Amino acid sequence: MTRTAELMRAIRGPVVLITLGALLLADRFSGVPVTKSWPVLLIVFGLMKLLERTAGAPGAGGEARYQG
Amino acid sequence: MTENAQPKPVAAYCRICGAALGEDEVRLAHGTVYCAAHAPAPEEQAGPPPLPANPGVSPGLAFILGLIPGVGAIYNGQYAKGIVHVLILGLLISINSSDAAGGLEPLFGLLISVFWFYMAFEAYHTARRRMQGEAVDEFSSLVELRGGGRSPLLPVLLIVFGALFLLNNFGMLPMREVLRYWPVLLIAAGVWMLTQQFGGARKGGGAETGGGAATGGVQ
Repeated sequence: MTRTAELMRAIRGPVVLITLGALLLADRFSGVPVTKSWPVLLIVFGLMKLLERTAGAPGAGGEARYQG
Repeated sequence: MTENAQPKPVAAYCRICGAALGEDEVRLAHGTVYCAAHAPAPEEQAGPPPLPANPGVSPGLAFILGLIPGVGAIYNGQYAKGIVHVLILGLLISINSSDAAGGLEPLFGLLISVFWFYMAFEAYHTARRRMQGEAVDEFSSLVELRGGGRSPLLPVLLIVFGALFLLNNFGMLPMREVLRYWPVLLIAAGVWMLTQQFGGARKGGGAETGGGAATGGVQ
């Protein structure tokens, strides 16, 4: 369960970078300016964090039990 | 002192000399038991603990330097944080000065000034922790984002604001029009406080005052 969360955390940076690249490509070639499409980065970052949170929810509870 | 002249029960024995000690003769030091003659000098308890570990660190200087983007974090030796602060501030400024804000320039102007002062106060608190020899968080000394980790508030807020900005930028949901209806927030806050008053009356009436809906109207 925590492995999935670690995976999500590990691929967060690359996924955001790929999204940024795709947005810049779309800016160059398909006429969607990046000044309009930048909130996609916010959404992708939030989605990754949300997935990490939900995937790591049981593991996080276990850690809290060890600490408390 | 002889054996039968000691009516008190033995509580412990001294670590050094092995003398039997009563309840009131026990001296605790370093987690073990000593008698009064062999107890080490309590040098830890003597000095006041909040001696500044790094007296050369000045929080006031950190605050002033924190007004220069990134320099406050650099003063604290956190170079990555300084770069991230400069990047975030530059991103906000460039969003505001290009047409990427999509009519929400006042909102981004507020965000820029809030973040500017956030950098100064964050540098101040980090420097104060360094001066007192406490551990310094690499991420932020003001906002606890990693410690809690339970509530998915931050990701949900990111997604919601991202979706709103996206719809706004592509003209499907122009925020300039939507934000004209901002007094609805006041009505919603009032209704929510009413439900708190009536619904929570049985549980002891700990109704918080509604968080100020400080979404300033653009129009």
